[in-house]
Parts: sequence; C-alpha cells; structure tokens
Amino acid sequence: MNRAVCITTWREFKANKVRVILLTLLFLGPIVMFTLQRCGSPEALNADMLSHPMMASFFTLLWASGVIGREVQNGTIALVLARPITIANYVVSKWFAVGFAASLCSVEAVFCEHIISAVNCPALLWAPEFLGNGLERIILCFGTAAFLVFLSSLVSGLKDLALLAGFGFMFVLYSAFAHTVYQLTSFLHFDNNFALYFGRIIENLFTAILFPYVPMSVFLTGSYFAYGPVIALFTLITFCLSSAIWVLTHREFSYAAD
Amino acid sequence: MQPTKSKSTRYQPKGLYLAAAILVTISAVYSVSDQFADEWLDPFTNGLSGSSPIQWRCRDEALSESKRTKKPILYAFLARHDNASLQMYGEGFHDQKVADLINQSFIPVRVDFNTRNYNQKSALYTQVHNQYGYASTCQLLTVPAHMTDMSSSDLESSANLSEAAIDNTRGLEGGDRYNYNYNSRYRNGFVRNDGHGFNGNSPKFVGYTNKRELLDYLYNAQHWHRLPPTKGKVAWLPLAVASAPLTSKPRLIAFVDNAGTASDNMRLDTFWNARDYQLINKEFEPVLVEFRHDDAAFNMPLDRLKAKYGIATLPALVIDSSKFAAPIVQFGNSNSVSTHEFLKSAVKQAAEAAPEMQSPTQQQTQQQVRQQMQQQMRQQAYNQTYSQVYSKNGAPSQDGKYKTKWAPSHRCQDKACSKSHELGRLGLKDPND
Repeated sequence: MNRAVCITTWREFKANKVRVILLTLLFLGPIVMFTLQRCGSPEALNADMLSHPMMASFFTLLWASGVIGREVQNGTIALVLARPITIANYVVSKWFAVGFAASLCSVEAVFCEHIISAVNCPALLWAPEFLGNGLERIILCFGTAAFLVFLSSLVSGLKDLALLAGFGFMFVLYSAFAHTVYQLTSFLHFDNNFALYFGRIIENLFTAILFPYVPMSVFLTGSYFAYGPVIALFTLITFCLSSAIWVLTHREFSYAAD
Repeated sequence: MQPTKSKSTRYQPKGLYLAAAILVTISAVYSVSDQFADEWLDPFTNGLSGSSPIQWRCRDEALSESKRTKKPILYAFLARHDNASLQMYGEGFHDQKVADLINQSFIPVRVDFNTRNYNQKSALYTQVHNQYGYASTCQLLTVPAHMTDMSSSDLESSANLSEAAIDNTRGLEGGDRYNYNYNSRYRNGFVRNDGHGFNGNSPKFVGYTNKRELLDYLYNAQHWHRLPPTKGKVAWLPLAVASAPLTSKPRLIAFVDNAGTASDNMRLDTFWNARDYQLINKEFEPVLVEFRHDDAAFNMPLDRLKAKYGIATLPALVIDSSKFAAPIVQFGNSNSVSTHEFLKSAVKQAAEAAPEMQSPTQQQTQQQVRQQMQQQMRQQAYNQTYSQVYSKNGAPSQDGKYKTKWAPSHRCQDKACSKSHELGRLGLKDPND
C-alpha cells in the first residue's frame, strides 16, 4: 500500500466541488430525516429507526466512481506509475483509499444518529445495534469499493458508472428471464428444481457483487454465523482486485489525455 | 511501506491471483452444494441449525403436554432461506427474555420448511398447514390448549369483549355487523404505531422486525382465549330450569360452546342484539347451556340435554313449550336475521296455539309459584355469576401492564360498581341495599 496514492486520491476528491456537495447532502439527508423522526414521532424510541447500512454503498459509489478511470483519461496514471510503484500496489492503495474514506463517512453518519438517539434516550447509548450497523457499513464499503475499482480499471473517465448501470440492468433482465422460465416450466409440469436452484445461484452471484452484505448485527448476538456471506465478501475483494491488476498490467498508458 | 525496487511496474502478484482462484473455487463449490446438496453443507449453510435456548417439542408431544398442563402451543414457522425467519430465530429466539417467556408460558413447536424448494414442504408443515391454513414462512401461531382441534378462523375468533377488542357495545346492540376479529393489523405483520399500544391479542404473528414486537405478541398471546365469553344482555335463568317441567311460556334453551366462530357469532350477534335480547327476555324463559370445548368431564351432564333434543353440533337454539307438540330447533348460527325470524316465528306459534284449559284460580296460583321460583333462581344466578366474575377475571398476566388490558369489559372501577352492574344485568336489586 502506498500512502502517497491514498492521499492523492483523497485530495483529488476534495478538489471536486460537485462531489463534495453530493457527499454533504448524502451525509446530512439521513441525519435530518432521522432527527425529525426521533423528535417528531410520539412512538417509543428504538434502534430500528437507524438508517440502513446500504447507505454505505452510496458513499462508496461517490468516492469510487472514476477512481482509476480519471487518471487514465487525464494521462496522469503513466506519471504515477513512473514512480517506483507496482500496479498491484497502486490498485490496492486506491481500493484502500476509497474503502477507508467511504467507511469513515458512513460510520460518522451512523455515529451522529447514535448521538441523537442517545440524547433522546440515554438507554440506547450502549445499544449493540449501532455497533453492528457500523461494522456492516465498513464491510459494505470495502466490498463495494473492490468492485468499483475493478470497473474503473476497465474504462477511462466516469464510464465505470455506465458499466455499473449496465450490470444492474443485466440483473433486472436476468430476473425477468428466470421468472419466465420458472413459470413456463411450472405451467408445462416439468421438474423445475434444477432451474430453480441454478437460478438462485445466479441471483446470489449478482447480490454478492452488488450488495456484499454481511449481517454483523446477527453475528454479534452470537446466535448464528453464516459462512456464505463471509466467503462471498473475501472472494469478491480478491477477485476484483486481481482482475483490476491483471487488466491494468496488460494495458498501455499514454501521457496524453484520452 | 516503500515499494520494492526489484519489482517491475507490471509485476504480477501471483499470491493474490492464487488466493482469488482458491476463493472463487470455494465459493462455487459452496454455492452449488448449498443449492443442490442440502444435507452435506447443512451445518454451515443452515442458519436455523445449532443450539437454541428454547425447548422445542415435537407436535405429538406438544399436544399431549398441552392437554396435561393447559399451556398454549406456539407454532413457529421457519424457513432457512427467509431473512425474517433467520432474524427471528437468531435475534429473537436467542434473547434470554424471549426464551424464558416461551419456555414458561408456551409449548413451542418448530415447523421448518423441509428444503429450499418451497413446493416441497415438510410433513409437519403440511399437517399444520392443512389444519390451520397458514402458509407464511416467518410466522408464530398460538393455539390454546382447548382449541387444538379447531381451525384458523376459530382461533382468531373470540366472544370475550376484552379479547375481541370491543370497547363499546352500541354497535352490537344496534345489530350492526361488528368486526370483532382481533387486531387485524397484526395479521399483516404490523403493529399499532400510534402510541396507544396494542388493541388486543392475536393468535398470529407474521414477519419479524424487532424483539419488542415479538415480546409484546408473546405477552398477549399467552392469555389468548383464557377469559370467559360473553353471555350478552339476555337475563338467563339457571341451568336447572332447562330440566324443569314445561310451562305455557316458551322456553328458549341456547346450546353454545365456549370457543369457535359459530358460537361466538351467536353470542355477539344475537345475545347482544337489543332487538333479540328484548324479545327473548319478554317472550321466553331463556336458559343458556354452555359447553366447554374439549372438556368431556364438564360436558357429560350437559350431553343429556343435548341428546334429548337431538343436537349434534353447537351452537343450537331450542324452543319448547307445553303448548307445542314438539320442540322447535335451529341448528347452527346462520345469521342474526334468520335467528330473529326463528324467534319471532316461535312467538307467533305460541300465540296461535290453543290455550291450556285451566281455571282462573289455578292459573293465578301457578303464576305466583312460577314468579317465586324465578326470583329464587335469579338470586342463585346472581350469586354464581358474581363469584365467577371475580374468580375468572382476575388478571392473568405477570405484570401490572396487562391487568388493565384484561379487566372486565364493562370497565367498572370498584367492586360496588361491578356488583350493581351485574345486578342490573340480571334485573335484580342488591339484597344488601
């Protein structure tokens, strides 16, 4: 991991005013809604009013969009790689910079909600739900960051957002297709177990990539531990980073902007 | 950490590639096995496996234990691929407070879906589903001990005004069709969020969001169908009148169960309907024969009356008189309108029947004797009912919160008020006044 690459990534983000404004809105929006809910509702306070950990995905999207692609587009990646740094190190540093920054933002958001809750109801100060929610956010940030870094390594500029949208659209198309196949096999009285199981594998694959969620709040209670999400998370991170490194090492960079 | 100078920019991290390849293989094997080979990876993939602080029973064991201990059975419908089920099992059932409450007050039975394929249900699921008709994957169902052979609609129905969440009886007295099903919002998996708490109780809890809702449900469900059903506003005569010799005034004998939709409907639709209870109080000698569901010892003496009039199922209304050649019987409870027509036709028939040949003196004496007998019987009825109200309506819950919820429906504030209320209902005066 290279500290300079991390710091450059954060500085670059700070220089972009649009992103800073979006980040501020993303940060303040849920907190304002949460505060209004807390103060304006007569119902008893409970930890379920916390914003969903999925918010972390949006923070990551904001931080990670075009994280490598922009440097490819501007031609600065060739300059960065002129330093004594490997592409592997560069990619891992980018992933860490994005994951860390997004985690920090999303954990800060949940921390603010925690403080507001604790002011309203001191009994919630040590509620484990906040800790679980925060951990889930961190995991989501690093998981999603790996996938977005991989997408960003494939294209230049902000085209990775288009790739992400295309991936989501594929998921929608697949769901419609799988539903049709399942209905058809049911209608024709075929044994559709294979189609059902196979379809679920594909669905799980899409879900693991788009939403690498690990239910930490359930694990923290010590009730049960599901191995599937944990394996999926590590697979996603290693596979995406490996792929990004492989793609970039087999790509030629020019000093001129694309 | 400074980058190594010996490595080129396009250095390939073989270790990372190898780790990625291994993890992808493991994920693929895991995913395929998870879907196609249930039992092989069951300890790893099944979130519903492992130890649980709840002492689960099998269904047969639960049925026999429920009969013995009179505790309600709590069916938990769980599916391993349903997130709400996993959450309820992991977070809710592993909470010590929830587990203690379930172990103390219920006989818990797990109804798991057999496989991931929702078309292939387990035998137990099919058995329970066929009886109660519930199909949701994350659901709790409370079955009181005396209602284990009943259907879902019977479980949901109640003729106790507190249980049925009827806080005023104007609707019932006006003959409006009152939706007395208990807290219908709960059936959709929601609870009241208007700050007033629950309207009442329900045998069913669908979905899971947090422990608080689960605990609320369990606190309420443990008392479901524990309170006696209403007898309406009919001035019932004691049971002994049913066996007394017939008189010229028609005698109405109502055979009802203490549970079940049909009996509950009759209690709420007819015995509370002002049009009906006024007619009954004026024109009939009403006697209520209350059976207890699944209590053969209690029902044995009452079965003779049932056999006398050839009644097979409950509820039923029998009208008999010395003027009638044979008793008139209404089997079941179709609706309040038909029951009213039935009562009116009986009154008409009694009026049209030939009067008994008696001298005026005989008639006067007989009337006096009957009035005295009725007065005595009403006094006995008052004594019985008064003692029953305070022995049965004692708060069944463990804490003060639910004492008020399960208080008698007439909301009397003290014993004197309640006493006068009961006297008024029976048409009597307080002997101490």
